[in-house]
Amino acid sequence: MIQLIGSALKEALEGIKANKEAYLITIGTTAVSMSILGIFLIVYFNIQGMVKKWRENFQVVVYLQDNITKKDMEKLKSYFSSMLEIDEYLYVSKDQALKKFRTRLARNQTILDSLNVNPLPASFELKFKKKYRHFEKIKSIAEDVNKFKGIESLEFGEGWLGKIETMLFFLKFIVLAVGGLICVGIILIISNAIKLSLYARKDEIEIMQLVGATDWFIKGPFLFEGILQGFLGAVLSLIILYGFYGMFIDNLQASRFFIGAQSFLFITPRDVAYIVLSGVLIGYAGSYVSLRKFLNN
Amino acid sequence: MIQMYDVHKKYTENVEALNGINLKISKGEFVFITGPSGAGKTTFIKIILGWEKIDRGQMIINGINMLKIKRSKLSFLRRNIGVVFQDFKLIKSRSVYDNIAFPQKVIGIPYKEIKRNTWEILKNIGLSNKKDSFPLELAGGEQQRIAIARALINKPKILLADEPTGNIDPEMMWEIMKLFIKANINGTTVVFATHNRDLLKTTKQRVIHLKKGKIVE
Repeated sequence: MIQLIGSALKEALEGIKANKEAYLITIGTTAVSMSILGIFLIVYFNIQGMVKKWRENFQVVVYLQDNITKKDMEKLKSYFSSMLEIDEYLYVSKDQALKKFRTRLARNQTILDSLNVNPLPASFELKFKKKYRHFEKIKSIAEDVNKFKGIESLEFGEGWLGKIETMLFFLKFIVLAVGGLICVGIILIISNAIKLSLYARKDEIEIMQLVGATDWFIKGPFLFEGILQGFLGAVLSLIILYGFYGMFIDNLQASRFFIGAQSFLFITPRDVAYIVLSGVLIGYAGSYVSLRKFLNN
Repeated sequence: MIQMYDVHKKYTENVEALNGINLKISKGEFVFITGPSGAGKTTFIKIILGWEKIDRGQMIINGINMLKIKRSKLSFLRRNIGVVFQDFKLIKSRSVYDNIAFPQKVIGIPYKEIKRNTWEILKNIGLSNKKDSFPLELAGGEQQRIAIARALINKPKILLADEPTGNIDPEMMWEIMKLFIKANINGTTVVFATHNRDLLKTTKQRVIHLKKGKIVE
């Protein structure tokens, strides 16, 4: 078995040597295509990361009317306690709200000095359990809470959260569509390169069949060729992506969009492994397509 | 060893390459297949090898029904059949040694054994000094001897030859014939397609005449 694998690898390297130019072009095209996919992945994972972080700090603020009765307040509290989705709720009195506001406006306290009354309402801050921190769920809870008496208003960032979730959905769709198309494209490119290699060694393959070589013995070197092309293309794409990331990271981090979010990250080691594995699988698929057609003929 | 019953093979609608062949070739026999160009000699060799499928009839090779054999099993059938062609069909990019070693690699013989077997057969055909040469550096007769060595290296039960002396000098022809006769003496069944009359005049072996795909007396 080891002898067979060693022999297939040796044959594959000889095939590469014989078609060096076509081989390099294929690796280059694979690398560029996978880099494009990589850029989409980096953007997608970073936005997903940001949304995740925002969700972690996510809370609904229920502002109360100044004249809310004790009874209505108790009803609200018991409702919050009974809700499975709510992790914890915190009551912020009017005085506490003003105190918080003063702390936040530390440098501009003089603005507040002229106020004789406290204009800030009391509120409840609701925090949700991790698995319920998504837009649709929170929106439906907010709508229920809003039906209680004594509520002034609710705030849960419905505007931007909804938009970001929709954007993330479309981005995911684009990544999948572009990724799918790119994968098919690379399979065809590699398949074509293997086809050239097969035609260049047509006589040799015929002799292999004459002397009783099994299909797998014949396929082996070509499959290795395809796998190596996909692997090298993926590795080169990661180098290109890392170079791209290094060049633009400073500009991206400096832009307003990323302030207060996490810093812009390169894909995780796990995703790097996935990209390399995808390259290998795409290379295998590309050569398999050509081989099946060629040997069946 | 080789049995054919009413075997038919067509390439185009009107031309039957083989038209109702019935014959038996026994184990250890040496049979010449002869006939003019287009008589069906090459097709006859190709169907035994499983390179072409028959359209009709029954054919048993080495106890295997060729109508029922799966594509995946063909390679194992061919390991028991050596084949030599007029155009040698050597791998031009590989040395003489590698060409002979190749069928042994295919069936997974260990490297040490491959080395020993290849060296031995090169000595037998008198070309041990050419082991590092490439096919195109050799004369036609030498190339054919390499092709025969490659066909015999795995000790096949059947040796097929399609006009093996067609591309070589008359003097070399007898050298080539000696290798086939030697293989036959060692127990290999030989099927030798040729239209060389000189060769047929001198032989005492069975000769099967083909004409337009049929066996003629």
